[in-house]
Amino acid sequence: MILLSLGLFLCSAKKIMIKHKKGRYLTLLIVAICGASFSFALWFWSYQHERTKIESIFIQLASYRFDAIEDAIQESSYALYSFGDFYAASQEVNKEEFDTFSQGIFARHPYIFEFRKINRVALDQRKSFEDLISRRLGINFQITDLGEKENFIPAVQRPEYFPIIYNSIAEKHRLKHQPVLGLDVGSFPDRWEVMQSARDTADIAMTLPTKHYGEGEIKNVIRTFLPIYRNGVSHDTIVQRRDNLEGFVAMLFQLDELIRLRLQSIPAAGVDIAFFKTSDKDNKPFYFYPSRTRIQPIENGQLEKISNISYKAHFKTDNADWLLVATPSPLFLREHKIILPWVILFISLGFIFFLLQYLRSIINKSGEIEKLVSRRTEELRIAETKYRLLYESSREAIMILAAPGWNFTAGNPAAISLFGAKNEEEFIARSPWEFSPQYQPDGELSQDKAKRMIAIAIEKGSNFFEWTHKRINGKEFFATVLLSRMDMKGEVVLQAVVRDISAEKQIAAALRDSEERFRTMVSNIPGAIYRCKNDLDWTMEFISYEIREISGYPASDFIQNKTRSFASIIHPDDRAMVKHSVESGLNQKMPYSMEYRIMHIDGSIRWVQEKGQGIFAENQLLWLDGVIFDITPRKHLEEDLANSSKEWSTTFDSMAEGISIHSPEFEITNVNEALCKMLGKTRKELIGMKCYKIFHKKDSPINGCPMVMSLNSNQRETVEIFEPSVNRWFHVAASPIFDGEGKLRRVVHLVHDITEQKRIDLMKDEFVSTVSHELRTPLSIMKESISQVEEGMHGKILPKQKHFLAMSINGINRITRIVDGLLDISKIESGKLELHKEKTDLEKLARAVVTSFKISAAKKKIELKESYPKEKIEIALDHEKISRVFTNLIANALKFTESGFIEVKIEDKMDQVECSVMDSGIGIAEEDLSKLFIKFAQFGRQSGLGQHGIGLGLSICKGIVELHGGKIWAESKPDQGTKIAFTLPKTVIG
Amino acid sequence: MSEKKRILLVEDEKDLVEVVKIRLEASGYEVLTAADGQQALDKARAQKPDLIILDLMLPRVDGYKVCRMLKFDEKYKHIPVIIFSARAQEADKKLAQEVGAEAYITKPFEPQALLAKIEELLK
Repeated sequence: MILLSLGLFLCSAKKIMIKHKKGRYLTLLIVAICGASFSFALWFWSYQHERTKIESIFIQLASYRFDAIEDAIQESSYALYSFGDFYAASQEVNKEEFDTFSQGIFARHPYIFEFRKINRVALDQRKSFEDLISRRLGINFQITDLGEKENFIPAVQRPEYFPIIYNSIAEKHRLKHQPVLGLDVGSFPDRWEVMQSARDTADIAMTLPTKHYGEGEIKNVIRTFLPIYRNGVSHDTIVQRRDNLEGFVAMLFQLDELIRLRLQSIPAAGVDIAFFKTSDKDNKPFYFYPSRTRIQPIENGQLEKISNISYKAHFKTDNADWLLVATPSPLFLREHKIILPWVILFISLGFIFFLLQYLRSIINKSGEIEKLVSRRTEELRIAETKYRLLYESSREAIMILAAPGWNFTAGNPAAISLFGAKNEEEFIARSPWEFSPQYQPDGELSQDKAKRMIAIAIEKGSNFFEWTHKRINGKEFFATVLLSRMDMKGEVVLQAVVRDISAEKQIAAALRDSEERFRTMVSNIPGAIYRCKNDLDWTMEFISYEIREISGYPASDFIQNKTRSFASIIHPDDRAMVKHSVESGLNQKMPYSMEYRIMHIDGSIRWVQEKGQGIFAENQLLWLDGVIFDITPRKHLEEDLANSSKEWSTTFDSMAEGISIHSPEFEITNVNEALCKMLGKTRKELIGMKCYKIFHKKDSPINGCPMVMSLNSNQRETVEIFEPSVNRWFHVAASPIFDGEGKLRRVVHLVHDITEQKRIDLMKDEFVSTVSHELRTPLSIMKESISQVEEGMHGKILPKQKHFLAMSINGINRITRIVDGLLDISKIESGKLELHKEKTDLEKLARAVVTSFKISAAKKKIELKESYPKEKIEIALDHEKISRVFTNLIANALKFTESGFIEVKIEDKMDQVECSVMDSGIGIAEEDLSKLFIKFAQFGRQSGLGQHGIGLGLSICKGIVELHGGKIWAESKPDQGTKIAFTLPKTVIG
Repeated sequence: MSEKKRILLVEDEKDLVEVVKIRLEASGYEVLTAADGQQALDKARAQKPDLIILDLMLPRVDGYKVCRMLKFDEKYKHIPVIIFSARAQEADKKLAQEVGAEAYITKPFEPQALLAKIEELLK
C-alpha cells in the first residue's frame, strides 16, 4: 500500500516537475520534509514497541526475584516462631538444650548469626538477679547501659531490665574476678520500641537494620524479637501480656546476606535490586544489589542515572513497608539493545536521500535538454548568418542552377559583377548559355560539354573543371568552376562556384620564364642542385644536370623517380645515415650536411657532400632544397693521410724500443706502447707530464739529460743512463724535430733498455779480470822456472835446448800481453779505464816511443822517420796510455811492413793535434778498413813471421784516443801502405 | 862484501816461492819466506829483514794491510817493500803507493827488473 501510494506520488511529482519549472524545487522540499517526518514517526513507533517488549521481559525477571526475597524473609520468621514455641513448651531450658536447638537453626539459615533468650528483670529483682548470675557463672555480674562514649556503665534505675548475658565474656572474666557487664537491651530506645510492640501484639517484631558490635566486624543486622510469657498464665489482653512477660527470644539476621544467599540460587539475567524502607522520610535506599556479588548502599538519585527502566515491589514487615526496586544491569542492557528502530530510521532516511537525488537528476536532465535545444537553435542561426555573409561577400562567384533547364536562380554579388550584369534580376533573366562562347578551347560545343559536366556533378556530388566564360560585354575569360549538388526541400539544385583564373594563367606563364632562367643558372653551379620530397626514395622534384657528372646518370632519370630513385644510388651502408642526418636537420629546422657514398654508373664509388635544408610553410614541410658536391678526390686524399698516419702509429707502437716525444718544455706529448710497458704506466698517465718527474722522479732535468744536450746542440745525442728509481740501464737517443721555420718543436727519445746487456758486460768484465789475474801467477812460475833453466842456473844446457827454452819464454810473454790486452779492452769497454792526465810534451813522448823501436826496426832494415811541428806542443794527456797508442801503432806498422819506411808524424791543426803512423807495408783492403778497430777482428793481412796477434791492439788504441776526446781512423790501399791517424784535442787542463 | 842482505819473501804460491827464492839466493841474498799475511808480520818483526817482497792477495791478512802496519810502525818503516802482485790495475798501483810500498812489480816479472829494483832499494 505504502509503496503503491509512494509510486503514485512519485509519478505525479515527476510530471509536475517536468511541466512546471518553478514548482520543481518546492516539490523537492515537500518530498524532503514528508520523508523526514515519516522516518521519524516510524522510528518513534518502533522504539516504543521495542521498549515495552524489553520492559516486560525485565519485569518478569524482577518480580520472580522479589518473590524469592519475600519468601526468604518469611522463612526466617518461621525459625523464630519455632524457637518461641520451643521455649513456650519447656519449663526450663538449659544451656545444652539451647545450643543443640540453635545449631540446627544456624545450619538451615546461614544469615542468622545469633539466637538468644533475654530475661525480664524487674527493678526490685535486680540485685537478686545480679547475685544469682554472679554465683552461677562465678563472676561479678552487673546490669549495664551503653554510655555516651559507647562504654558500659551501671544501668540507671528503670522499672524493668532485659539484660544480655555474654557467656563468652563471662568465661574470660571468671578468673580475673572483675565485674561482667550485662547490657540492658531495653536501654536502646529503638529496640525497646520494637520489643514493646512485640510484647503488646504477642508476635514477632523487627528492628530496622542497626549496627551490631559483635566480635569481629561491624554488621548491619535486623533484630527480631518474639515475646515469651509465663507458663500457664493467660496473655490474651495487653495488660496480661505486659504483666506476664517473662522475656524475649531474640534473633539477629543479616538482611544483605539473606538476599544474597537467596538470589545466588537464581540465574543472573542482569537484574539489580535496591531495597528501601518507604517509611523513611528521605526514602534512602540502604541496599543496592547491582551485580549479585556485592551488596552496597547507593546514594539517592543514583538509581535514575543507571537506567530508565525499573520495577518496584512493596512488601511489608511488621513495622515497616519495604520497597524493592529492580533495575537492569549493564549486562541486561547489552543483551537487550534497542537496535531495530535505528536501522529503520537509517534505511528510511537513506531511501529519502536517494529519492531526492533521483528527483534532482530529473530536474537537471530536463534543464540540459532545454539548454541543448536553445544552443542548437543558436548554432543554426549563426551558420545561416555565416553562409549568408559568405555568399554575399565572397569574392568568388556563387550561383544556383535549378533543374530541369539549369537556369540560374540566384547569383551572389561577386557573380553578378564577374559576368558584368547590372543586378541579380538581369543575371537571372539571361540564359546560362549567354555566359559562354559557342565553343570551348578544346573545340567541344559549350552546350554539350556543360551538360556533360552537370551530369558528372549530379552523379558524383561535385565536379571541378576549367571553363571559358563570356561576359555580357562579350569578353571571354578563363575560369575554374566547382559544381556541387545540393538537395533542397526534395529538389536537386546545383551550386556553381566560378573563379576567374586569367591572372593566374598569366603568372604561370611568367613563372615558366623565370624557371628557365633558374635552370640556366643552376647548370653553372659546380654541384647538383635538387629539390626533393622527404620520402624513402628522395623523390626528385628537380635535380640539376650536374648530377650526371657526379653519378653518370642523367638528371631526368631521377625526376619523380622516372627511371630510378636517388635513394637507389646511395651506398646501402650510408642510406640510414643520410636519412638520419636529414631527419635531425628537419627536426631542428636547421640546414643539414653530410658526406656519403654513391654508386656511379661505371660501378665505382664516389664520395659526395650534400648540404640542404627543409622548406617549410606554416610548419608544414614542403620539400627539401640542397646541393650535392663530388668530393671523391678530397676523400681519397683524406684516406691516404689516415692510412699513412695509421701506418706510422702502428709502427710507433710495435717498436721494441721505447719512444717518447717531448715538447721543448720537457712535457711528454706522446709515448709508444713499448715505453709505457717499460715504465709500467698507461699512456694517459704519461702524456702531459714533465719527463724528469716521470722518468727520474726529480724536480728538474738530471745531469747528463740527453734532451738538455740535444736542446743545446740541436742534434741527436745519445747517452746511457742508469735510472736508480727503477734500477735499470737505458740507452737513450734524443733527436730534435724542427718545424718548417727551423724552430725546434719536439725532441724524440728512443729508449732502449740495456740493463740485461749491461749485466752481461759486467759479468764478462769480471770474468776477464778474474781470469787475467788467475793466469798471471802460473805464468810467473813458468816464466821464472824456464828463465832459470835457460840461464843455466840449474845446470848447463845445450844451445839447442836454450833456443827452445827462449821460444817458451816468448810464448809466455805473448800470453802475458794478450792477458794485458784483454784486461785493457774490457776496462775500456766498461768505462773503467781511468785517465791520469798531466801536462805532457807530445813530441818528447813520441820520440821516446820511436826510440824504443829503433833496434827492432833496424833489424828489419826499415827506416824510422819522424816529423814534428816547430812549436812545442804541450797538452793534458795520460802519458802512459798515449805512449801505448804510439807503441801499438808502430808495432803494428813494423809487423806488417817488410821493407821501406815507417813515419811517425805530429801536426798542429788549429784546436787539435793530429798524430799519424804511416808505413809502406802491405796495406789493407777497402772492405776491411771498417773492421780495423773492432776487437778480435782478424782479416787477410799477412803479418810478419812470429808476429801473430789477436786483434786487440787497435781497439785499445781507439778506446784510449776516444777517452781523450779524439778520433782515430785508417787510410790504406793494398800494397801501398797504411796510415793510421788520430787526433787529440788541445786541452791544457785535464 | 859485507854480511848477506836478508829479504823476506811473502807469497802463498809455494812453487813461485821456490823459484824466486832460488833466483834471489843465486844473487847472493839470504831469503826468509812467509806464506800468509800474519806470518809475514811476525817474521818481519822478529827477523827485521832488509827488504820485503810482498804479494797482495794473501791468506789471513792481505798484502796492503801488512804493508800498512809495517809502514806505520817506527821500528819497521825503514824496511823497503816491493809489492809483487798479479794485479796490474792502475788502481792497485795507486793503492800500493798510498800504503807506503816503495815499488810495484807485476807478475809475471822480468827477473832482471826485479833484481835491479832490489839492488836499487838496498843501496
